[in-house]
Formats: sequence, structure tokens, C-alpha cells
Amino acid sequence: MSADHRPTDLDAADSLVAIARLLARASDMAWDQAATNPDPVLRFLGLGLDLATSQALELLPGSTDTGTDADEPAPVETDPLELLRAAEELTRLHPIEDSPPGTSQLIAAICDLLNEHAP
Amino acid sequence: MTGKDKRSVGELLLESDHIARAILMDVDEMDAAMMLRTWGEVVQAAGDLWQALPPVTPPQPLTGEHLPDSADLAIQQLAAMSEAMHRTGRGRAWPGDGPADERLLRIAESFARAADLISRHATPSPPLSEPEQRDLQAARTRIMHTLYVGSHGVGVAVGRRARELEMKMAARGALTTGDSLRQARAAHARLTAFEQHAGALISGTYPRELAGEHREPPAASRLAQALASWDVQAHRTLTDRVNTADLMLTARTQSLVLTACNTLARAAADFGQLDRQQYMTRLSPAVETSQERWETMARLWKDLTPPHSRRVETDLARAALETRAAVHELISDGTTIAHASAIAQGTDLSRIGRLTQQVLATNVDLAHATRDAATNPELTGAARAVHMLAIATRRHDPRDTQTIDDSPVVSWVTPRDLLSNRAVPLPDHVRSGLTASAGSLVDANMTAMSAAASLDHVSAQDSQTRQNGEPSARRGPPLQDRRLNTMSTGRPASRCER
Repeated sequence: MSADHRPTDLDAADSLVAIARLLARASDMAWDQAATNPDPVLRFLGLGLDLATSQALELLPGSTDTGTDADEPAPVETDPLELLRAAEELTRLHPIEDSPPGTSQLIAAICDLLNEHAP
Repeated sequence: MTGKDKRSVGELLLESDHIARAILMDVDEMDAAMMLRTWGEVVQAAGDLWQALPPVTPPQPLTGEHLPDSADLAIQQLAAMSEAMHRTGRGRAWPGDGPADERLLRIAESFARAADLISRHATPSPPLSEPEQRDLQAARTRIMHTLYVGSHGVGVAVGRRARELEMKMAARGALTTGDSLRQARAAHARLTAFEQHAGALISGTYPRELAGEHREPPAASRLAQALASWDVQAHRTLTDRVNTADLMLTARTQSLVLTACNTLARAAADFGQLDRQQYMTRLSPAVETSQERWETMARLWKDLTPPHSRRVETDLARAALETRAAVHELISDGTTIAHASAIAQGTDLSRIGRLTQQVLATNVDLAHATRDAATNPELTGAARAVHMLAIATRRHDPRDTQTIDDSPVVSWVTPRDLLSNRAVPLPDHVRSGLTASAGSLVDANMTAMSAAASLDHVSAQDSQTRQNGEPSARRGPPLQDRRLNTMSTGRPASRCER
């Protein structure tokens, strides 16, 4: 999960910011649903998303502003898996060499989560 | 304690130490008179327990008697100091007669129970093995540490009471009946002396001597290893830095661990490896409550974490990742939770009871660490969440009769902070609310730990009988005896088995 923070392509960095936001939002949804649903699966998903969010944020330079909840409207999507899929699609926008070192591990983590919960 | 208490000597000592620490944290809310009334019982019970432990000095050549060492003499001094203090206070206006402090009473009961266990299972002075000697030293250190921390807690409460009385006296020139400034000051001075004496005794042994404390070897599985690593890392991270993102991940990981624990325990109960009745009526509800409290805390931490600050400490994330993976491997089957029979194929269910006890014991410690973090003045929170919590806390505070305007102009957070949602310091009443939630978490986890302590492990023979569908009758020695034996080193029962 460690990464050196070399300057990265702006678009790729923007994508990482969006991916982190989607993952964080998906995690909060999963945990919100877990509050009324004892199914352990939701907790597996929620914790996996938390760890992936942190992994994505770790790839960004410290000064990167990932925005706030009020900066843009919350996604209308209410299914955390759909948000996870959207995050996975964003990872395909740029060649891997445009992304900071460590991005491949993040992509692997996102794909593992999808495989665990929506094969 | 009732006759159904199944905890070992080591567990009783550990719980006593935990309670003493908990008292220290809540000492502002405690009644000094109640604490002072009960403290004598704690010291007396500690002295009795100390006497029940095997001697550490070799027998004298001719008489076979064991001379006391310096720590033996010290505990006698402490007992004498406490006895003198209570003798002096007897019949005085303050603290007078009245109710006892429940938590101190629990410490005294645990000490008494431990002494009883040792006395009943003692064998006539066997030579102790090296591990047993180290375990014995650890037990003595644990007792002394409990007295040290406990005396500090009582001393703080009594000192605070003395200051209140001084202020009353200065304002009114007299005190109400039942109060005595002189008694409060005298008790405070004596407690300070007690604390200093106990502190000097453990300064050279704590926590070094605890390294020899007997511990059950962890289950040789990925899960047990992952949980142990998680526990160590979570403590390390929460001690090193105070960060709501780390606290949120810790709370959510604990929630998952407890879910897994409950699932595994249910499978063990289904397969006759745990007493099903105890699991259904005590353990499962307690674990569920504990899990709910962790999730409540996680929601609070989530709200208080600025969206751009959700990055968690790398080592903590790594430990959580491995814990999640180990749990997932054990209880998941594709995209669903595995059936009990599938879980049984992947793990030795006879070890689940012990694993559950370990998980719930460390759970309590992490809850304490969470409460410590909540009281840390360096803790900050996202401006908008702090603002909302500040308003909500004030609205629900019956002592606050002021109408609070929701406008940010009169809020505890500046409009600029609200706009950027940056991290801001917590107002006192928001921190109090957080501390109360964390306290509730600690209480729920203590209950779960107690429920696990009484888990009835079913013998292999019983388990086989149940599997065959026949009614089960308990065989073999009582559980308490079996537990003591399983924790021994294979030698005949020793007096210091923990």
C-alpha cells in the first residue's frame, strides 16, 4: 500500500480522486445498510471498501484536495456494488503507466471486491 | 461472585486491573465517600489473595517455613495502613455508613474468588517450575498494580471532595452535617501515602514482570494469528496518534470480527462444541450488542472524519486487511456466508470457545483505547459534523435551558470552517457526548467478555453423544476444574495456575 508520490498526470490523478470518492461513498452506503441488516456480507463489503478508499487516497499527493460532500451532489445510486463497478470503470480510463506506482494494487483490490460480491 | 463463575485466576486478576483503570477514567463521576468506604475491602481481599499464593522464598532448612520477601512485607504494610485508616474513620461523620462502590466491590470479589480458587486447588507446596515462578511474579505484580491504580482513583475522588468542602467552608463558614473537611483531608493524605508506597513497589516490576504471565497459546490458525496482529497494531496506532479515520476503521473492523466470532460460535454450538443454551441466551445477545455499539461509534467517527482525510495509517490498514481476509476465508462461501457444516470442515470447532474468549477480552481493551482517544484533547472533527453534534448535544442536554439558534453565526464552529469542512477542535460538550458513547461501548464489551467467560466447553464425549442425537449429560470434572487443568503445564495442579 506504500507509494512514492511522484508527480502524476493530472487526468489520472483526477480519476483517482473520483475513484476514492466513489469507494468512500459505497462504503458508507454498505455500512448504512448494515445498520438494519445483520448479514455479515455487508460488513465484509463495507470494510473492503474502506480499505480500498484508503489505498486510493494513499496514491494521491498529500496536497490533493479530494473535495467535500458539499462540493458536488451525492450520487443518486443507492447500491454500493454499482458504485464499486463505476470505480472499476474509472480505473480503465488511463493507461496504467500514467498512474502513480501502486495503482495496480488498487485495481486488484477493486476487482477482488467485485469478484467476492458480484462475480 | 456466584458459584457459576468460571473465570480462571488470571482472568480475575486481569479484570480487576481493568476495573481499577476504568475507575481512574471515570473518577470525576464517582462518590468519594462510597469509594472510601469500599477501599478497605479491596485491600483486605488483596492481602488474603497474596497470602493464598505460593511462597516465592525457599523453605528454611530446619523448619520448612518460608520467610517473607520484601514484597510480602510490603503488602502487609499496605494492609496495615488501610486498616489503620478505616479504624480511624469508623464512627466518624464522614464517610459514615452508606452504600458501597460497586466497581471497587467487584475488584474485592474477584480477589476473593481468586483466593478461593487457589486455596481449593492447591497442592502441598510443590516446587514451582520456571514458567510457574514467572507466572506467580506476574500475579503479584498484577495485584500490586491494581492496588496502586485503585488507590490513585480513590485518592483523586477524595482530594476533589476535600477541595469542594474547602470552597463550601470559605463561602458559608460552616459545613452541613455529615461532612468533615478534616476527615477528608486526612483520608486524602493517607491514600497518597498508600499510593506512593504501592507505586514504589511496582516501579521496578511493572510491566516487565507481566511478561511471564501465563497465557494460553493462540490457536495455530491464520485467523488467530491475524486477530493477534490486529489487536497489537490497533493498540499501537491508537496510542501513537489520534485520528478519526483510524478510529473509524478500528470500530468497523471490530464489528466484522464480532460478526465472525458470533458466526463461528453459532457453528460450534450447532455441532455441540459449545453449550447451545449458553450461546443462545447469553453469548449471542451480548456479542450482538457489543457489535452494535462498535457500529454506533464507527458512525460517529465517520461523521467526524473530513471527507479528504479518510486515509488510515498504513500498518493499521494492513492488519485490518489480513484480519478481513482470514475471516473471509473461514466463514464465506462464494458471495454468501458458509453453512455451519462448511465452516466445520475448515476449522477445529473445539477451539472456537477459547478463541471467542480471547477476542472478547481484547475487544474490551480496544474499547478502553477508544475511550482514551475520545478524551484526548488533540482529537479533532470535521467542522460540519462538530457543528451538528454541538447543536444536537445542547438540545438534548436538560441542564441547558437556553434556546440554541442553529445559525452558524452563534455556533461553536466558524462559518469559514463550515465552508471548508476542515478539522476543528471539539467543544467540551461534544467531547462529553463522545466519551459517553465510548463508555457505553466499554460497558457492552465488558458484558460480552463476562458472557464468554462463562462459556461451557462441551467435552468430546458429550459432543459425540449430541451428534448421535441422544440427550447429553455432562461428564467428567466440573468445568472450572477442567479449565484450570487445561491451563497447567502438564504437571499436577499447582497453586499458581492462572
